[in-house]
Amino acid sequence: MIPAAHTGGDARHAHCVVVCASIHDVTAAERGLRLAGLWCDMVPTPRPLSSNCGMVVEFHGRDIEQVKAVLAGLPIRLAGIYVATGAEYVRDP
Amino acid sequence: MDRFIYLDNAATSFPKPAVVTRAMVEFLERSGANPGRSGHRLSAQAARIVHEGRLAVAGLLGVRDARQLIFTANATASLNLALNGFLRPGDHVVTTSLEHNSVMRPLRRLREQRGVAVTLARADGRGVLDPQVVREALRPATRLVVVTHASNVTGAVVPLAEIRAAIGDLPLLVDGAQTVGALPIDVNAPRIDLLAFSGHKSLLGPPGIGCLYVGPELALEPLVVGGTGSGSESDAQPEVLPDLLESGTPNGVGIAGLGAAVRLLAEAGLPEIAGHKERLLDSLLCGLGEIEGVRIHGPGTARAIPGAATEAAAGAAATRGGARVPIVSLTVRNLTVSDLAYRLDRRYGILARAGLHCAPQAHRTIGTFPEGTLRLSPGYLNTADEIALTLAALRELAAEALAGGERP
Repeated sequence: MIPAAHTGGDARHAHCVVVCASIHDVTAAERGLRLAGLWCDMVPTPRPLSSNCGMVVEFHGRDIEQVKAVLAGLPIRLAGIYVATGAEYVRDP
Repeated sequence: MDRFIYLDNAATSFPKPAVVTRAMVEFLERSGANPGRSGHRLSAQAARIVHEGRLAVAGLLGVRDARQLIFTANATASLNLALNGFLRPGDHVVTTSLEHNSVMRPLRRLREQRGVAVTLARADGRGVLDPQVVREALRPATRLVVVTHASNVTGAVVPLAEIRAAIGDLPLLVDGAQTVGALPIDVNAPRIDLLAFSGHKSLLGPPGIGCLYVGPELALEPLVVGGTGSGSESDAQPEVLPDLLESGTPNGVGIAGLGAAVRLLAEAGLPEIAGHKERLLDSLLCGLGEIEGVRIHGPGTARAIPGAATEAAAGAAATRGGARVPIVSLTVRNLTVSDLAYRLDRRYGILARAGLHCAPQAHRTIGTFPEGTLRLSPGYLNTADEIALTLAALRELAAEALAGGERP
């Protein structure tokens, strides 16, 4: 996982995560992003976001618009995309 | 291992393709962790394998949203989940006289314990189900229709499209234990609302893994609740599929094998595989038709064909034209089916199943209760030579029985 503290709050380079309702949705999201050629990985859900599935998909903040476009075309229940800003996670609107 | 001819594929297909074994070994050796629960790389890899398996099965059946596919232990578990999870007190169910006990027993318990009313739509003496009989069994309180897609006793395929037309928009639960992987199935045409099946028969997967497809319009109550890897801060069961109906550590190694098997079926082509099995079935039926003292039970056998040399020949000729999976039920005059199966096994190394095949109602329907039948069920990996050897063995055994010279 990219340490949130290293991102400096800049979403273009930030550590971002896709949060879903179930592990099925998480794996579906990761699969879709990889098929679209985007770097991503399944990692444990950061504690501040742990009220959802136990894993999330992390990706580079610079890809956020592409990620959103890919996810919009997938049959998944998206709980949100979060951007790490410092030690906090901010939900992408 | 001694050489043998395995003709019990309707119970469990054997042997499994090498890719299935490899996928299972690989899962255990490289990614056998708890899928998606633990967060580390092996857990993620296991979750991916489960996901790919679900997608593979969904693709085979035209399931548009793989979340609607629930992994279970087998077709029986799937049927129990469907019936117990859907039916409520006061509901009425229509099912058929061809069903396996995996339908009949849960329905009996629901009748006794939940007050669910059950009506049997009876097939005729050949085991042929008339959709009009199903329509006539419907009542205003009917909430579910349950049909086997193919009889595990006769192999005859029921006319699903006509049944769907006969029941209108009512929810339809199909027992696909004998057809999923054997016939092309699309859950959208005709519309199937619940499809229960196991992975270890025609899908060529390992035992211990099955599926229930749950249509998007249906809501099922879970039979088992617990850990899902999601919503872990709450002790409330997640409402989303598949988690709602899939609690506890899944059978990852079984899903790995099933996924590999389904991908093999897709690559080899289900119609090609079905064609091979049909050719074996044809050889079997034709050969059996020439053996005096052998009687084939099921559709067609009651229809006499002018010129047919024996009653079995009439059965073979008439059944070949109908839709069926490669299952043949037979009896041999002057020989019990248990003795027949025993002699086939011990004298010829031919493995078949004798008895009632967990479907007493189906045997009552075709007039073979309580003695039962010998069931021969060729599979994808059987050969024409094996069918020829089986016919030769049956020819000897039938002749011995007719002559009254039964060998011990």
